[in-house]
Amino acid sequence: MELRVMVVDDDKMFNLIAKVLLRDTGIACNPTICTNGEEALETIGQEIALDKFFLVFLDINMPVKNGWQVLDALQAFPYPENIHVVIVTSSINKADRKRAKTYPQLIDYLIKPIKRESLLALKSSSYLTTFFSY
Amino acid sequence: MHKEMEYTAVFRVSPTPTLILLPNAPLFTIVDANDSYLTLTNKQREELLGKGFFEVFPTNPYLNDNEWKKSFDAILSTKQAHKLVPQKFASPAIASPTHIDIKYLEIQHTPVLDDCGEIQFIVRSMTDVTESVNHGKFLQETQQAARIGSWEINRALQTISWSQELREIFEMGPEYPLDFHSAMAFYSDTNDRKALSKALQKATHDGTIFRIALPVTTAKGHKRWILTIGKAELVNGICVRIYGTAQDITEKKNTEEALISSEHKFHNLIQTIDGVVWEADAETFEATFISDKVKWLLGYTADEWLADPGFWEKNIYEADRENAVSYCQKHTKKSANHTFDYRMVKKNGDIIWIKDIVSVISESNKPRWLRGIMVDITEAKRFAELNQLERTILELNEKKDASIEHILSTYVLGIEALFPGMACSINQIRNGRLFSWIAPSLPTAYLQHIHNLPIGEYAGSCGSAAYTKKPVIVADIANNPLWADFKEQPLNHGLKSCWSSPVVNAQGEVVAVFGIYYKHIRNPNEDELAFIDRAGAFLNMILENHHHAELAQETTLMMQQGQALAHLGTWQWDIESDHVTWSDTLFDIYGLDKAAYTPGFSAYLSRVHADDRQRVYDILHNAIKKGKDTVFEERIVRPEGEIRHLRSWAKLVLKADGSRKMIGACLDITEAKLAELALNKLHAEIEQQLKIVAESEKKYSNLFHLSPQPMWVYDLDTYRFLDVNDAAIKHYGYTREEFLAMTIRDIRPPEEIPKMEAAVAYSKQHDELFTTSVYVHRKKSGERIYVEVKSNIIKFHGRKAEVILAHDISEKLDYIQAIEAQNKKLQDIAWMQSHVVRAPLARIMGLADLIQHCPDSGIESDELLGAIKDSATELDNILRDITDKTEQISR
Repeated sequence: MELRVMVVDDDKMFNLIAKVLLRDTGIACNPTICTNGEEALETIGQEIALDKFFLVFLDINMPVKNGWQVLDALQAFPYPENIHVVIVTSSINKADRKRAKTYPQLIDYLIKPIKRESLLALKSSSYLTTFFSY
Repeated sequence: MHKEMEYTAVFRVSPTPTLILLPNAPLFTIVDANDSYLTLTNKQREELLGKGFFEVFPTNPYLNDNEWKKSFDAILSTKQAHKLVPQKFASPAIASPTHIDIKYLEIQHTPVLDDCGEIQFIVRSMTDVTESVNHGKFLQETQQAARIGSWEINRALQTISWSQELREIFEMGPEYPLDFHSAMAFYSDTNDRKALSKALQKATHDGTIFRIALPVTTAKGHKRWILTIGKAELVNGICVRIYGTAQDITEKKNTEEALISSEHKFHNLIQTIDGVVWEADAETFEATFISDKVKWLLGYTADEWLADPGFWEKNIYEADRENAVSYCQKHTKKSANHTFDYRMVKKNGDIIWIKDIVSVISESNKPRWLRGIMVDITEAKRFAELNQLERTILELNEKKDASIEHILSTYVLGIEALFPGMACSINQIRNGRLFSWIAPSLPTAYLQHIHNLPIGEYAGSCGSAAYTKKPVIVADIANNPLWADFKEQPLNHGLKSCWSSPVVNAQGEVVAVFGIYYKHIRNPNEDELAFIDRAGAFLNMILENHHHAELAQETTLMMQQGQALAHLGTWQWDIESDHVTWSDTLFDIYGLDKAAYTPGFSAYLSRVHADDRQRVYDILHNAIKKGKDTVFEERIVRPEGEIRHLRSWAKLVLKADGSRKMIGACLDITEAKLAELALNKLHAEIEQQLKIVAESEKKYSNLFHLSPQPMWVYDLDTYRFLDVNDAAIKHYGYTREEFLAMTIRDIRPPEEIPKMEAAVAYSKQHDELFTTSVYVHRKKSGERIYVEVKSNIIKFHGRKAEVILAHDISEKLDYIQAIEAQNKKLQDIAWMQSHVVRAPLARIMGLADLIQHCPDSGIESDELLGAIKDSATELDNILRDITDKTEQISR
């Protein structure tokens, strides 16, 4: 089983910071960076398979295709249970959090700036232990 | 031989003159004559013996020889004794031979028959009846002295002459013309005339004397009886004259007729007495005479009775024997005539009741003979006893506690006592089957056998009688087709004959069968047949009566129950005696104990509610005074103080003896009365409410018209406006008249009509109060308005209608729309704050964290600081933008 970690955000600086933190926390040395939703969907659509899993850090507010549109599109993908999504947003709007919970792929909702502790907690969550136990 | 000689001696000295002749006609040889005969005829025995009768007695001066000849001839032909009328004989007197004695002798010729029935001798015996004839003659002559006349018919001269006496008898004057025809004309009856002519002709022909008594009508029209005696005088066989006497025997004839009539009556009387005449020795009771009728009475002949000295006592029915004999002995000793009843057993075993009427004949003050007459009174006796039995049964039947089985058993046992040897049964018939019911004298095993057998044409006597509804008499069970399939059982129990009579009720159904069994073969006699019919009718009466009594009992019970259920009590008041009777229910209504309370008029009044008492007293007294029925209501007070309301009826009844009685009934109407009172109260309350409603209606009407909000009423069927208020007129722009000419469709835009119709249909079906909904209406000006409608279903002048309160919320809706638009802007600001404002801020915070905690991130410090500066600039721009937008909203 292979876990592909992706960071989808149009904020290049955030992507840089995220890359550092994912490396520091041992989640991913070289995550795939996408700057819009379209790009992310293309990547996932090309690679998705029975034994291929994705951990997607997804921003909501993005050009071309925002986070919601990505989540909507993922519903139609094969093996949707293989895709785990973590929303990472600067919004503190409760409506956004409420909406995010309606998607089955969502495993966490993080408010920017992301903290190490949040990532470590995510790493040890039941969704991901399979990938990080060895 | 010795005996014969004895008889001859006896014969010779017999005082009756007797002659014995041989039947050798025409000689009639004399074989013997006794001494009396010889004396009478003044002959010697030798003159007679061996001579022919007519040889010795060639002529008779007074009688034609033919009479004797005829008598002998009659004997020879009939072989029976023949008696001649007394004959007159002249015989020389013994004392003085010159004197002739005239004797009247009654002669009887009697044949003596041999073993073969042939005539052996003819015995000619003579009885001297001179004295009695002379007496009769004397009497006759005495009578004739006054009422006798003579007559003569001269055939040669063709004349007829009557003596003066005769003319007087016929009440003819001396001038009355007399010839043969006028003389015959006195005989008014044709047959009488013929008889007289015949007698005259006969006399003319043979010269004999004739006697004839005939009724005549005298010249004056009186009825007389005339005895005519005449004789013809013949000369050389030719009649020259006829002469004789005619006697008025009217009185004698009348006496004779009376006597004959009386004798006739007596004879009839004797004949009609069904009695046996008897005579017995008063000492030994041994019968010395018993009339032949005994054969008819008991079946034994008189000889059988006479042959047995103890016959009478032996044949008395055992139960009566001692009493009957001692009764008779007791009265005989006292020489007292007596009459007593007892039963005797007939030769065929039947038992009959005898009434014995006994005369005691005493000699020298000592009872010597008993003479009596025994009469069969069985029928009368049974009739009387049956009457008594039936009376007993009827009395028993009237007793309420006597069961029908007890009554019928008593009857059956009574019948069996009346008819010794009889065993009776009463079987019930139900659904075409026979059920053994009452039979106290029949064997139980036999009864069990016949129980529950089907009835039918050939189902024994009882089964057949039930089937055919007619009496069935079977004298011999063993040989009767009706018993062919059943005879074994009765015969095994010794029952040999069975007579049955069906008991048919008023509906023509056979309910029971009365059966009579005997242990010998037996046919019923007339009395028993009559009894069978009577028993059937009597049983029917008892059973019907019982049935009716049961019905009556049920009815009474039902009536009592009905009274109790209806709380209807009844009463009777004998006004004069103030005796009052109450029904059980009435006691219940008054709450009184029947055993402890005696009803009476004043006692009753004291129970009536004090407020009603005088009124009730007046009503009842008025009813008595006017004799009119009355109905009234009253309240009574029960012992524990409870008040009950009664509706009472009273009726005055005048009894046959003139006394007055009042009868009545009381119905406990308390519940109904209380309900009525409650209802009245309710009505009063409702009326009060209605009054309030009427007042409030006015208020509501005012509220409708004065309401500041538009209101109208429309017809749910036609949608037409029925009423509108001023506010509606003002708000919608139509006049009242315009409204009333419109329907509710007319105040709506076309696209709203389906919605409106659906709402109306819903209202019609659901009848809900106060529904609220929002609709689009159109004013007269064409302006659309949003209206919140509140409605309610009402009756408006008899029509199902809906009242509408329309609240124009168009303005309110405008406000809401404006607020919603503003909200949208605020939401946009919030979103912007969340996403746009916080994005650079979060980036700055992230960069700061990186610088602080990850000095070895691999990212140049300049790049990090430049990113912080860019983010701060971006944040500044965003805040400016937000300020602009906020200013827009507040504007």
